[in-house]
Amino acid sequence: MKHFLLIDDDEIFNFIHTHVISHENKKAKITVFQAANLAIEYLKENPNDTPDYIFLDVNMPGMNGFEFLEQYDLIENTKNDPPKVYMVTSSLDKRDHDRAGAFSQVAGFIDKPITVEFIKSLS
Amino acid sequence: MIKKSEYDKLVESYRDLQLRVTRFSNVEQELINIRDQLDDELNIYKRLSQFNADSFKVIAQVDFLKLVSEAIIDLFELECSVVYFKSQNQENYTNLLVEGFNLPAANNLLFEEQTRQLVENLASNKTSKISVESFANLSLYTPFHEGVAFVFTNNIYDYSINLIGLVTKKHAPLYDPIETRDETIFEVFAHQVKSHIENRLKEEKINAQLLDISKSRIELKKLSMIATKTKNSVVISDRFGNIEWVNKAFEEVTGYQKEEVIGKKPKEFLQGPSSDEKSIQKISSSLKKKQNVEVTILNYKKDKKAYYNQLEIIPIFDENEELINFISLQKDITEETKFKQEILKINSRFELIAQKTNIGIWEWDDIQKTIHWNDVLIDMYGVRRSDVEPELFDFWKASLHPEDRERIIAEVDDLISDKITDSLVQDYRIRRYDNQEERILKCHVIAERNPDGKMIRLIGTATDNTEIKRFEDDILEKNDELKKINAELDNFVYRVSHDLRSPLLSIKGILSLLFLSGNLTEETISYLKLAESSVIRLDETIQEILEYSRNARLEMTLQSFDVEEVVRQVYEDLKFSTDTSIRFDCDFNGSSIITSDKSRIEILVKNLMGNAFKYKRNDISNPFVRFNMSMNDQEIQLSFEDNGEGIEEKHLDKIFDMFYRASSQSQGTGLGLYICKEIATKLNGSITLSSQPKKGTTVQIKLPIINL
Repeated sequence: MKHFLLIDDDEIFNFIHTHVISHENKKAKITVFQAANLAIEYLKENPNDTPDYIFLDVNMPGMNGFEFLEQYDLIENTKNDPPKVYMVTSSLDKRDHDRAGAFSQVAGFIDKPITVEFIKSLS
Repeated sequence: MIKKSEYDKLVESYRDLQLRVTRFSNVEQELINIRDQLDDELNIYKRLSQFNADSFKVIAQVDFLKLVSEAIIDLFELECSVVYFKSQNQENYTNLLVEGFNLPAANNLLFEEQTRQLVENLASNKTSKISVESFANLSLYTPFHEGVAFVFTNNIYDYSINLIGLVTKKHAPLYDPIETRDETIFEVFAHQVKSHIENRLKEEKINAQLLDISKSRIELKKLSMIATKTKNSVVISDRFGNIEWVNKAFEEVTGYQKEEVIGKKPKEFLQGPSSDEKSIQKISSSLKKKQNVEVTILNYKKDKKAYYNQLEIIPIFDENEELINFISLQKDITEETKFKQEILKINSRFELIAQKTNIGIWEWDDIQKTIHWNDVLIDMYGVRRSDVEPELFDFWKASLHPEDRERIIAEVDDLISDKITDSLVQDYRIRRYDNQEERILKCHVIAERNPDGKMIRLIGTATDNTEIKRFEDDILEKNDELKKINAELDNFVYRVSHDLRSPLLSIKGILSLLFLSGNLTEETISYLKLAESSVIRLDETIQEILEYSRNARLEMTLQSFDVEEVVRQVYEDLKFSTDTSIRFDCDFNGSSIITSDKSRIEILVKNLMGNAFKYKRNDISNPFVRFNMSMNDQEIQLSFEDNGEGIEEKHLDKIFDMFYRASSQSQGTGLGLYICKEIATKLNGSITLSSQPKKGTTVQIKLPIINL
């Protein structure tokens, strides 16, 4: 059973992405946060429940995607296989792509909305 | 027996005889006396003649005078002698000789003075006796008892001589008193001395004249040599101006032979139609006044060729101030004049340029220690020339801005002492003299050096850069502002695009959820498909507007990259996002690595390749897109060829216009090719398109080779 962590301030995208994931992967565990700092807290408190995938929005009020990555970097990871982080965005700013490349945990940069094809390609 | 009468007769005879004897002995004594006197005189004359003979033998004047002083004592059996000789001829030659007594050396001048006083009132050119009273007031002469003197002054030969014989009081009893006869002989002696002196002076004068003559003969020889050999023309005319002689140089310059011109006046054949009237006037008026004249005049050679003749005419006078000749020195200065006129022309042109372009020029000559500023520079410092010359250097230093002064002077000093550097550029501030306004000058300083590297001259230019500098500062400031605005605008565009896209993409996501739900009618599906394609178009429009805005505003970022990688990546992305497939041919003629703006090239490729996908023909089985790249020394050529729908000819000339769409059924925004054109232009390249409906389209891009 795969564990997906969705972080996006936009409720609609969380809704769409939850459906897309569960459509493809019926048993998947999906945890959704509308704010990045809540996700950090969750990850700190549940070191044994680290997700397999994190879909991270870039532009968010409060803590944005990159600030999340910086904080996330400080959390000690007990799992052998660390989660793959995908930046999910509607931004066309190439600078965001470049910035994301600097974080080793970032596995990819994908356009919103996440498609069934993409979820398929993960497994 | 003797008769009385006989006796008487006899006595008388005896008495008579006695008388005769007495008379005879008297006569005899007289004769003896006369003989003695004659002997004496003979002796004196002998001695005189000896003196004469000796005089001829001595050469030096001082030796002769010594001989005179000794002769006075010997000849006249006197105790002492004084000879005082003065001559104007021989540079105030004075000689005072004393014989027979010792004169303390320190008293020489006083003795000279007293001697002068002693003879002061004596008659000239004759012998005078000096009595004891005459010595009374002269301290150095008081020991003397009597004397004899001969005083003479000759104005023709410009000399005076005093001959004095003396006897002291102490030894007076031993000497015969001086008698008239002695005086006479003394005078004879004196005349002899005189004639000796005069002969000597005459001889000297003659010798001097002979020397002069031989000297001037050498001089003359030299002069005539110079006149003959000199490269300058020499013309000698008589007092009427008729030529008597010309030298070789004159013949060479003018082409006239000496024989042709002798007897003529130079102006008759040298002057011509263009000879300057003013110069001619100057010559003739000076000649009339018998004055020197120097003038440059246009003259003519024998072959009628004109030349600039720099001439000087010197009138020559004899010792009676009578004009005897004119000598004229002439020089052909045609070349020099041309050169000088050329320089003047260049100079005035240069000065004019400096005036018109407002360039200040200065020159500092280290050898002549002179500084010159042109009018422009003087004006630049807001000063009057008369107020600052010649202390221009001090004035300049004082005008420099205190913060710049030390640095500027040190830089100039370094340039002077440095033997290699030739120029210097300086920017500095000055305070104008008149209104104390601060100005900024840009100055170039050039050092002129001799072969040893020693600076001989500094030349500089100055331009008032105040306004330019202010503009520059202004522009820099504006530029910074613009950059800031640009960055803000860039962020704004991203924000807007992001905020516009977000809801659009969520619609797209919800549509995809609907498709996933599965229980839709055909009709619903077709409506949803239309909605989805509209959403995609709107998203493309947003993306293209963003790309356009970025291309227009963003600086170029050059880097070296592989075009093949870009093209393949774009192809893969398109295949994935459009979910369609067409054949892709890739053809590289040589290397695919270029230096350019990678992100712009990416947009270019994405648009052109995207068109091949978008407008592929659905009615054929083998749609393709072919990419071709080649490179030569000058340019890179990229081309995209497809076998798609093609474009009708009537649209071709507008195809690169903004928002122009060729087909009504196309999903395009009308921005794609416009952006391509803008990018090609931005990259200093070109883009051309050829197309035929139902055959396909070829787009060619040419880019310059860029070397980093």
